[in-house]
Amino acid sequence: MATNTQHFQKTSFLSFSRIGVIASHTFTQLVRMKVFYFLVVFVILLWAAKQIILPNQTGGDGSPEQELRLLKSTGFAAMNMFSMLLALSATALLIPKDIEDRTIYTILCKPVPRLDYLLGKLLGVLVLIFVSLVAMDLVLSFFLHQKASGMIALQTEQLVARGTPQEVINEQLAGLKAHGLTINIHFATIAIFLKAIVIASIALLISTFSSSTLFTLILTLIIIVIGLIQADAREYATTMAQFGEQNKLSNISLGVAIFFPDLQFLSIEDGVIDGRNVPMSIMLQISMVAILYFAIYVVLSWFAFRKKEF
Amino acid sequence: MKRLLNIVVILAVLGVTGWLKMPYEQKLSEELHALKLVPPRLSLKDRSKLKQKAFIATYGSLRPTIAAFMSVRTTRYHSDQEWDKIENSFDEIVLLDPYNYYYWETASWHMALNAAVDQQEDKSLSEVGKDQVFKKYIKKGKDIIDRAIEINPGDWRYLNLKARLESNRYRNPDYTAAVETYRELLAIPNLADHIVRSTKLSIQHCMQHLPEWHQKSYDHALELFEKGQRYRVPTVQNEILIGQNHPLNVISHRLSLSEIYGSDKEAYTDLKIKWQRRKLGQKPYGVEYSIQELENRLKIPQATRVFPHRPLFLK
Repeated sequence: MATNTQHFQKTSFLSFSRIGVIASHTFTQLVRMKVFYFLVVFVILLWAAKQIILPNQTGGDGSPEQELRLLKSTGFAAMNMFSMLLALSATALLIPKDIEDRTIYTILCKPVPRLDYLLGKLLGVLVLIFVSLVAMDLVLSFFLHQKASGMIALQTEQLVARGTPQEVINEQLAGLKAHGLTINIHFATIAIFLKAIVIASIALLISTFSSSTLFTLILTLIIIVIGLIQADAREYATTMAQFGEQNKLSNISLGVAIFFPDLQFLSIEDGVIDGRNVPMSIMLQISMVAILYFAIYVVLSWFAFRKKEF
Repeated sequence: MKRLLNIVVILAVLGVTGWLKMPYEQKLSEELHALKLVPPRLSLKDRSKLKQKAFIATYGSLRPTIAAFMSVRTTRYHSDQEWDKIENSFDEIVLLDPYNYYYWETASWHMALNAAVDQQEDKSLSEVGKDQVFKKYIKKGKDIIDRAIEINPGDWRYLNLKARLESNRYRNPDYTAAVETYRELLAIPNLADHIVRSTKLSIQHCMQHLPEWHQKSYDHALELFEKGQRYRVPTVQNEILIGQNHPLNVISHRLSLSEIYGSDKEAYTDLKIKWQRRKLGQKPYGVEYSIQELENRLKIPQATRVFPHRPLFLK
């Protein structure tokens, strides 16, 4: 008995190997649910988007890049949708499924701290999302590179045949290249992953005190929607505060800004679709904020889960 | 009780961290908006205009996809000449994808060019009515570009689009406004050399349509001419010749035909075209005389001359 107590006392609060084991188990469990089949749908979707030739109505300058925009937009929309749904549903199901299968009892009766359990489960989901996003990023990059290089070659040929000065050709091609495969595509994928991290940790927090999976799903979805317009509420509350005015709406907006996460700043893929460059400093800043959200929600999840009885 | 306490603690922690992070988030959000990495915020009015699409619009990366499919749908409205539907559709499209030049250009093109002409040909309207509707749609086109400039400040393409419409001779042109818009364009920093050149030449072109700007137009043409060979195009060369022959202009130094055009032969070719394309109401001072002088100097056969018969008083 004394040896057992000593053994429990020696159990570290956080063990990466324990977290790794739980994470790999969760990952395998999710892979068996055939989530990677989505990749086939993704490839078909992008292939179809690549075939679309938009009508050039005005004959102006802006149309060649439209098809690249559409390809990127379709790809990122699918990536967003997949990562959000997976982060939401897989995380919301984590604890209830373990309770249903009675796996949770086997794990928690062993010297596994509850923080390790939660982190392991969450990381399992996040690794799955990461692997899927990397695969989708590669597919998108392939299609984008193929389409962009074909368009650049065609455009160059046409402009040279028209006798366009080299300076103008270079500028037109630079515009087209900005819409092709650049490092910004990968930055946008990272931002989508960061968004998934925040969504998954919110779902985890709610699932620790909720007794129904459906409730967890609905509440997380509501938080996501509010998170997407949180910036507007914050802007309104800040502006009203600057003018020294206060009303019911500004108070509600302030509450929304304080209690809900801002998910809009993780939507930089919109800028990437527009062909803009994402500075490294911005990537670091948004990563920092996402990690901060992750840390807060995980600590709070542990707080709610630490003495939960099953 | 325990669960309630947990929720209270969680809310308290969220409140404190939320309060602390708010200024940083606000700063980061402003930075992202300044870099145009996130779409501009939708006002309540815009949200109500987008109806159910407003919800989708809040979710990143879906906005351009919906905008693209909506723009494809407008091609049907175009072939059916349903201008109101086009106007409403583009109103939503530019809200969904406001940094996309193509949509603004297409929207203004539909209004100021297609709809304006189509309405002008409407047989059910009186002549006055046709003119009013024609002008109304041109104004709609201009208003769209003005909105685009407001959302995309510092982008030369929108100002160029606006100036092109203002100086379109078939669309109720306002050359003074076009010159102002082109000058606004030139004030944008770090413009490519060929854009600066084409804008300055466009200013010259607009000035030539303003008879009261004879001195300004001549001075501007001379300024461009002195910039070197790249600016010595017929528009500039002809304006120098006309300007230095204008009776009311103050001339600093008169240039000969070969100095302006490079050679007599080139001068003759360009002036012949200028004479053939002269417009009613425009007075091409010195062009007629220069052509006659060149025809004599170059010994152009009478049969191919622009002015085959010498005026009697020169005999």
